[in-house]
Amino acid sequence: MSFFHLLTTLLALLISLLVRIYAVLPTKNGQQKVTKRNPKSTCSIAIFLGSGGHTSEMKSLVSTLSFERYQPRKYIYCHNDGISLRCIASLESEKGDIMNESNYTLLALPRARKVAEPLLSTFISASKTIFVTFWYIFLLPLIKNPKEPFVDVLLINGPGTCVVLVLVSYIRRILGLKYTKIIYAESFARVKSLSLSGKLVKPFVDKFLVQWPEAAGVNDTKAECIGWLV
Amino acid sequence: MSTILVTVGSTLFPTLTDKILSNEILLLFSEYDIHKVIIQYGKAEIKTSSLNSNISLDSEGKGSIVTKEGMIVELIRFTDKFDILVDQSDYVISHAGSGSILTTLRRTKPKPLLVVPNETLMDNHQAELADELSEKNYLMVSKVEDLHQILPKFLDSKNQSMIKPFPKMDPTKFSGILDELMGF
Repeated sequence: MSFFHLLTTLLALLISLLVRIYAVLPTKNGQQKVTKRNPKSTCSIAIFLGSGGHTSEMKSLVSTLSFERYQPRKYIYCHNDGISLRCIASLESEKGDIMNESNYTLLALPRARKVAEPLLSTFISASKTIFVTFWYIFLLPLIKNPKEPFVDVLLINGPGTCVVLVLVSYIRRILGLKYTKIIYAESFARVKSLSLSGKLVKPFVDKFLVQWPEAAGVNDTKAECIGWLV
Repeated sequence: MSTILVTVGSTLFPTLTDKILSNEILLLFSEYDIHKVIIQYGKAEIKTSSLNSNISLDSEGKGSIVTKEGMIVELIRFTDKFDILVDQSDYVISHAGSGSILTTLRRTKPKPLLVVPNETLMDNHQAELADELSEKNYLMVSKVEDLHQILPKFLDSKNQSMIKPFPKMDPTKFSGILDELMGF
């Protein structure tokens, strides 16, 4: 096969992948098909704890949820983030079922980008994060039970590493398998502009929430604002 | 006799923490009958020479001194009990992080809050939050270099009554959105 053939094949593959991704993008908010669930049933959930302010906002959001309904819970955090670990401990000891510790698990990821990390080194650390995420969030759950995604719903609110989570969660959508729904809550600190991770994941998530009316700009049709969430 | 808490959250903000430790600001505090200053200084290194007496920090970065005026200055690097520290203080001076702001304003007994945005941050969206909340009178804002002018207004009890109570968190909002998305 000549180089030209190889190139056209790759291009054709790339185009069909892009068409497929476009086809599986969530439609505008409120118009998605939602299958009704039994109010007494449970729903598995993954919660990403970013660090610092992201973690403390996520803690407030999660503290409002019914832990009987949203279980088992998977907490995803970045290596060496002791604050997030203590936040999980405090959430679970206040709201969780002490008799049943198995209804929550932890997953530590290598950080995709440290604050102000240069581009090349970001690329290397991000690849590491992608690999670990791919293994724990896509491949391992697929081997265990191909019919079910790793969780029913994923909560994210930034920073960088959450983009990798969205990326890996998208593999099942592209393959047409049952997939994880994703909800992104932009930080309370974002008054007039979106964060970089917010801008990156906005087209791909099923719900994109902002806490200030001007955060996403006036022409935005996807972001929803119902005021302060935290 | 009151206590003031200074916090930079999980960040570092040496221009603020150094300024608070300057003689000018510490003297100003003692004029307003403040007998204790707690400084949570985060990832910054503390210039111990800026205080007239030597302060030694332990391995966790904790230490304290008593100034000539008899004021206790306590230094801590991080805390897990920020909420309790807020409860024990009469005033809070904070960086513009949403976590520190929300915790301070959401305590059962909220404390007067002065926010100092870190202007050295590249993408300084945090200043927008502080400005917006100060326009709504939930808190006061100051630049580091204006602290000596703003602090007297902040510590003046007459101005405290102008501060509006912060609305409570509505726990049904987020859970409602999630329940709807998941078909409950």
